[in-house]
Amino acid sequence: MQNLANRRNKYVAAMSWVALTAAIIIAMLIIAFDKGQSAGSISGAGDIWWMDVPEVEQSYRKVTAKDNLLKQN
Amino acid sequence: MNQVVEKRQNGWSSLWQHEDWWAVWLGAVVIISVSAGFLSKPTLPGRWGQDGANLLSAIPAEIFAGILLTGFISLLLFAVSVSFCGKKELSKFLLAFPLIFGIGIVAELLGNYSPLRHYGLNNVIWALVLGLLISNTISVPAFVKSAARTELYIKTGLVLLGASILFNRMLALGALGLGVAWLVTPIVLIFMYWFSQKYLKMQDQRGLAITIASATSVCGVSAAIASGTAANAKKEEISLAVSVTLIFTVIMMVAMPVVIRLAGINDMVGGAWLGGTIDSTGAVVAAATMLSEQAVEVASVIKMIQNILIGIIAFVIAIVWIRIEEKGDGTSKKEKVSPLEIWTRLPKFILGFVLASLVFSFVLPAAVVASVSAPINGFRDFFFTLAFVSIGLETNFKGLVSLIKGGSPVTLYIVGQTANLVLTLVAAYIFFGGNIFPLPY
Repeated sequence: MQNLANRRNKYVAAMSWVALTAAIIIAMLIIAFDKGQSAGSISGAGDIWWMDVPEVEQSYRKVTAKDNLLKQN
Repeated sequence: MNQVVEKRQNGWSSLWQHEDWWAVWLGAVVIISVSAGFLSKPTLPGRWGQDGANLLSAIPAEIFAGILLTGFISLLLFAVSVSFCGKKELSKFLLAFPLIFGIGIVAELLGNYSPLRHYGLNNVIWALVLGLLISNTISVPAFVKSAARTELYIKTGLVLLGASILFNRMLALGALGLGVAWLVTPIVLIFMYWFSQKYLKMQDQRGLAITIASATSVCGVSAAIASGTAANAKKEEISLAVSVTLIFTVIMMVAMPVVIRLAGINDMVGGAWLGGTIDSTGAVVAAATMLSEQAVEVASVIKMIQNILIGIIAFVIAIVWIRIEEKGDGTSKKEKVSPLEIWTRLPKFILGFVLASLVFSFVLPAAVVASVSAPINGFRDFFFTLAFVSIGLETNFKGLVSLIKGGSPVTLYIVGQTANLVLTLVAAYIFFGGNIFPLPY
């Protein structure tokens, strides 16, 4: 039973290393070939909080305006 | 001896002798000074690497004086705290802070390189990388450590973060938005923590488990910082959660719009799915931009509503963690504690964090909030940079690698993010599919 648990733990550890390595390689390829279309983008993954992203405020205003219009009608 | 220490900690003197309280006072000083017009946005290097902006245009000679002033204000603020909490350290702090500040400015400069910032390599990540590189290649002089005050910088930054948690915006998309952003998030958070304890046996890494769970279910880096600090997680644990989140965010930002298009998911549902799952707000917007304007609207508002939840989650984690007694051998047990004990052990920065959020949500007029947000966010962001420089300087690679040796943190992230993707897609179809509930517009 203990052996089985140990083997499972080793398997989980090995698989997670494979997954992490694969993720790092994929992420590096995405960055190297600019698959996220960084050119022309105002915001990206480096903007971690909503107040750092101007599009969020714009979207909030648009949604609120639409909502107010619906309420008036 | 312990009773004496305990008594001293409970007394009024803790208000000016504890760094935890000083985070609240310093946060309040920044907020009040900005609101009164005494303090403006900190001067820091600008964006470069796009639209013809080069390195020199990011840091022109005209802003040198402003950068020095930003450094002086930061030095003054934190020096006051150091002088009250441990006067002996003050001279070393004054000597070492310019070094931490200098590394912070370099991190800001590198983090503002647009092509890499788009993929998550921002000031916070560069601060961590630079700190790690310095501490693991050349030995850091002992006096520098007295200015590497991670807790003080991070907690002051978190009090300022409270000012941008606006509860009055939580109903922006009505109950439908709450259904996606507030229903799935706690389910994923609780599931991940339960999974970490039940199957991954992370009993000696509870802080790491809850930090990864929050980062995955709420909003990545900010959630990792807020909940990790509330749970008293180790510095390496917060760094690890931030790093894992960053790697997978890059993949999700690019892959999810492709999946949405290939699967023929409509833009409302797709936007809600992106907003509820991708960790960083900027990445949510970047991914939704690949779909349509409607997707951007839904995705970014869902993300904003989800961001608000971090205030509640950090508060709840702080309360729950009071009941978990950490033992010296790395294990922990739950214990019953009185309300007085809760008050004594509660991380006090949480009070400033929640109070700032309530004041900015319900007391200050919207126009005032809009006008003071940029300076407050500027200082918050820079204090996080200083915090991650400090974390890097105090972390060794071996410690960081040993955390992921057994594979549990990565497994936890992958299992949790998979559950997050499935549950949020189901919620997006239920609330934004137009079949069960009428769409908001």
